[in-house]
Amino acid sequence: MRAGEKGRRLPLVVALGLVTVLAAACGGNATPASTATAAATTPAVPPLAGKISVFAASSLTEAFKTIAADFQKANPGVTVEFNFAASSALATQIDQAAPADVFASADTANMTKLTDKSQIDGAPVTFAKNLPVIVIPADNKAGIASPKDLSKAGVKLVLAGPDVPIGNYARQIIDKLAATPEYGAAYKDATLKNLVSNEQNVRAVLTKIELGEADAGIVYKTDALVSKEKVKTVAIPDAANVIAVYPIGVVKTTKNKDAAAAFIKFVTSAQGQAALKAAGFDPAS
Amino acid sequence: MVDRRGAGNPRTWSLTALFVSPTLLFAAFVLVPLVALAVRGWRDGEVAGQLTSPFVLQALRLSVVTSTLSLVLALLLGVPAAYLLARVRFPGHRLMTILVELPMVLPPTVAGVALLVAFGRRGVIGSVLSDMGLELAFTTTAVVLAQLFVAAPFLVRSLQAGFEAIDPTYEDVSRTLGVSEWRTFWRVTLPLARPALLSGAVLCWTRALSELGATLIFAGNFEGRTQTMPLAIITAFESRAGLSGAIALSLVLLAVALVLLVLARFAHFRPRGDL
Repeated sequence: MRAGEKGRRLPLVVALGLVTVLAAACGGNATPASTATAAATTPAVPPLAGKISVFAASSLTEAFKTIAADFQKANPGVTVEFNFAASSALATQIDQAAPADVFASADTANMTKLTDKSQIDGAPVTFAKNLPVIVIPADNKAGIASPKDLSKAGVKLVLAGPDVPIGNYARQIIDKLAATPEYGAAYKDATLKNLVSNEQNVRAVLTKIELGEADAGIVYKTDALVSKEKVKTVAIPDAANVIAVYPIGVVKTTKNKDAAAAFIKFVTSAQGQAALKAAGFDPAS
Repeated sequence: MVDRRGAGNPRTWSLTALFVSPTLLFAAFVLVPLVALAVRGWRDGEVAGQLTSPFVLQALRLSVVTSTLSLVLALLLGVPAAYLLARVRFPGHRLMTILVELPMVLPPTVAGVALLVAFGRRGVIGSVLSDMGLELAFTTTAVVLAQLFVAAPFLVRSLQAGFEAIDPTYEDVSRTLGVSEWRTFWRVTLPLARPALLSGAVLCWTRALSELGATLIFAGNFEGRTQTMPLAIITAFESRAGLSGAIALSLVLLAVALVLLVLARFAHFRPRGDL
């Protein structure tokens, strides 16, 4: 009888686990269909076809969705799938042979991780720049008016993890500020003492501020634009700020190199750049 | 285990034969990834070093402390709840049963968002607490609450079924012999429900130990404070430590889970003495 009870419950747990695993597997990116390009040698441009998986930094979410819609309009045979996450997470996934065709990183460090291992086809292209800002909840209960206030006792600060591009930039900014006589070395310790969470990506930081769970965070100015009704920004002095550089490249293991290269070309085209500008990004050069 | 009663029956055997392949496939499906994890850990030179790194040890300690606290709280709230659900037909009984099962089928991320909306700074209860100077988000307390929310139902469900399986005659006899209700509960009912209590406690503890989604959303991710083992695995996976760190942490959790399940099996079957 008792053994029976356990027998009924354990399989349920196992089954639920199985369903989760299977659902995750199905959610993965399908390998792009092979494209028959028999006419590849003819001068006439063969229509692009198939599916490409674009692994892109979280901060690119809105801009890249717009770009993909335009790109698909121009190339009706191509379907663009996205995997938005922290560039560090994406780099690890690609390193572990995730089926990616294009990688767009929010910093050069995570792109270099892959180019060092020859996992990117050719040299990556810089396609946009961005600027970190401090975000605070609209009601600013903690009374944060300048970067200096991040070191006030009791302030709850959230940053992305140190390997996530924006988390790395944020720590560089804190270091730079601490190096100025106005802030002083104590600034770094006091600010990092206020750190309550290392979030997975820039959007997780933004959400914590939107919800008012934390008093301040550091995200890109483009992220702050995404939720401008819920958060306010505090500028970081230019001298202490870091310019985020976004490189993009074709992943070496791609099975649809033509479409992947075409997508990158589209991102750097006037139309792609306009979409990035509309989302608040700065041009690459 | 083969049912010996049907050993000579050809029909039972044909069914058994039919079921062998899916069973083996299932076993392989579970076993292969776990073995791959162990093999990779064995071969990867960095994994052994990671096992004793402060990053891993801190996460392990936090996981053990928080999941144990969650279990204690689950026992304090869950034992009475399971007993009432099993023994008393009260108004709202059915509602309560559904309520207990809800967190078991709910994605933990939903639990995380719900906890945030309730106990976060701007939450229904959280805002009141915040005015009193008590803030839960990003604290170890938040980790325990997240674990309790998703794990306690496993204890209650198991124990409720355990209590229901006990013949009330035992309790009646105890009481007619003049033993108080309170004493009867401790001396008769609870010992009889021991196997269910143990298996429920193990399920609850391991569920708390593996809690990720709710913790990440409600408690955040900070070393030594809210970064439990599962969060450390994600953090390692996405950092420079990469896969080696994630594998080291995964192996530790796998070992803990395995030991617990084996112990629970023994504890579970001993009183019956037939297995």
